[in-house]
Amino acid sequence: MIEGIKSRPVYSDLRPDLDGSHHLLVAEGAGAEALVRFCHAWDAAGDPDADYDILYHPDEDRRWIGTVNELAREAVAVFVNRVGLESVLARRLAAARMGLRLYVAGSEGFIWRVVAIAREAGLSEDAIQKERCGTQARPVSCVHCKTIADDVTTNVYQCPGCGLHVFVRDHFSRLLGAYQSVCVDAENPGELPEIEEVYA
Amino acid sequence: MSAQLQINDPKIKPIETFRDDFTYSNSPEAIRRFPFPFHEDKYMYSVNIEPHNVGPAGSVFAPAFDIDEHYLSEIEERRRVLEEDPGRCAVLPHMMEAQWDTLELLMTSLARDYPQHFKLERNGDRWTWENRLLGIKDTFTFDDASTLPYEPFEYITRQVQGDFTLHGQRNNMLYMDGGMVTCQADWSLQFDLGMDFYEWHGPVPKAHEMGIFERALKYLLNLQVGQPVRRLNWTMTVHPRMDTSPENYHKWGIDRSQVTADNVGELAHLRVELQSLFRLPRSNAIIFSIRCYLISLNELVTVPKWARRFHRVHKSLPPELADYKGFSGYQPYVIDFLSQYDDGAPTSPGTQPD
Repeated sequence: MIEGIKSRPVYSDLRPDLDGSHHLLVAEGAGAEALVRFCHAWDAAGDPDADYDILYHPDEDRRWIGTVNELAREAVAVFVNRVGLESVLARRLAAARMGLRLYVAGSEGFIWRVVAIAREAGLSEDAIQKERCGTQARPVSCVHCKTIADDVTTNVYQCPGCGLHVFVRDHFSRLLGAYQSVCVDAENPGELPEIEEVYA
Repeated sequence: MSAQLQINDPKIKPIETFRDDFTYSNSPEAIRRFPFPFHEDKYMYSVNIEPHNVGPAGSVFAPAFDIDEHYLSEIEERRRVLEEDPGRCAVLPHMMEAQWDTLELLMTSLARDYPQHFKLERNGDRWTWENRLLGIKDTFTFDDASTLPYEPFEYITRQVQGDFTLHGQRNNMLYMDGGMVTCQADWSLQFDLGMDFYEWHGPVPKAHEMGIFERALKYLLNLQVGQPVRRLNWTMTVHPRMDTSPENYHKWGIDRSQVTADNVGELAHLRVELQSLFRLPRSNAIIFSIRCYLISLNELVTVPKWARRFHRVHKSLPPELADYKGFSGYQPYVIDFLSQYDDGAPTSPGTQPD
């Protein structure tokens, strides 16, 4: 039995793909959990011919920094903001050779920012392992004004671009890296449903 | 009989509007040739794909791309939509060859089917296109986009009724790689751009479980050049509004709450899409034509068979389909209105008026 909307992305736990010759892990916030599991799996598999690097942005969740630093020997770079991480990631990918494996872990908004940067560098999305960690908050694109709101946690929100109250659908665009939202009270202006935290 | 004799000679009306004062209406001839989609007294999803380019003389199925009395009105409406939102036309960069394929297919088809209105002269790669209805005569170099005022896909689809989407085929999958989408039934090209076949059909209820999309995709992947296919789809629209886009839903959604028992015959329209698909020869892409026809209930009930049948279709429609199609709120008025025209008599087979 198939349920729900087919465009909704599926995430899975990061696993070392030992066919790769170099492994780049990119994570934000609670994505550190995925890094820990990845590194344990890596040690258990033991692959002396390959190496991995980690780019990490703690975001507001700083409790993982110590853990990440311990994990990754000299291979970890911790960034104070996402912009810094993104520019280093773009440079790494531009210089990447065949055999690179890319892994990303964090919120959905973060995952799809990384996918967009990788696409620019010529990597196809299905070559990237993606694990959602921590918040279920969604990146959402308003169908009316195209403004993307980064971390939407409610069924309905007021679009920061056009001010309309919009409803978050399950329909997801990989190219935009966002769910779609549509005006919720168009047929009955001012009648808003109860606003609930559904993607906390 | 030659091909040209079978094709309707459209008496093109002056420009009518699909917004604000809504002056659009159908002539008695346009009503008779309306593509009424129900071949029996009930409706359920089906793939219902059949060969295109064979159809009764004068019908909307006879030409490759139907031109009718609303040509000037629909072209003007498209221009207005694009002026407000240029993103309604978008093609991904790898589809340039498919753009030229589209231009060739549309120009050669229109010049063949409507020689009184369109003319194409080809002198090697120097082509001259004449569209007498719009007063256009342009000479350009095939395969050189700089010789046209727009990219080739936008150039030609600004001159043809109906929406168009372009689908690249890779790894046994079709992708939404471009389109000209200004008269759509509530889906967004900008949002769906780049999606695969299952993704862009994601929001359609029921059909996934029924395996409809698996079968349809398999069929379309094998579509052959020169053997186009078609199907009909339908919904309801309040007012003769072409642009029922999600982009503008906050402007037109209110219409749905304004239907009453008194105005339903005038306001509620059956909206039928004649969807046809053509394999393109060089790019191996597929061009999907979504040609939209609108008829008010008042106009529809002038054909007694259609009035009876449409009443029975509405009465037996699964509620989740009415919800998905967006007319469950005013459907009771539609059913009440149509019931006046249903005396319980049997309806004849087929979709044609009696």
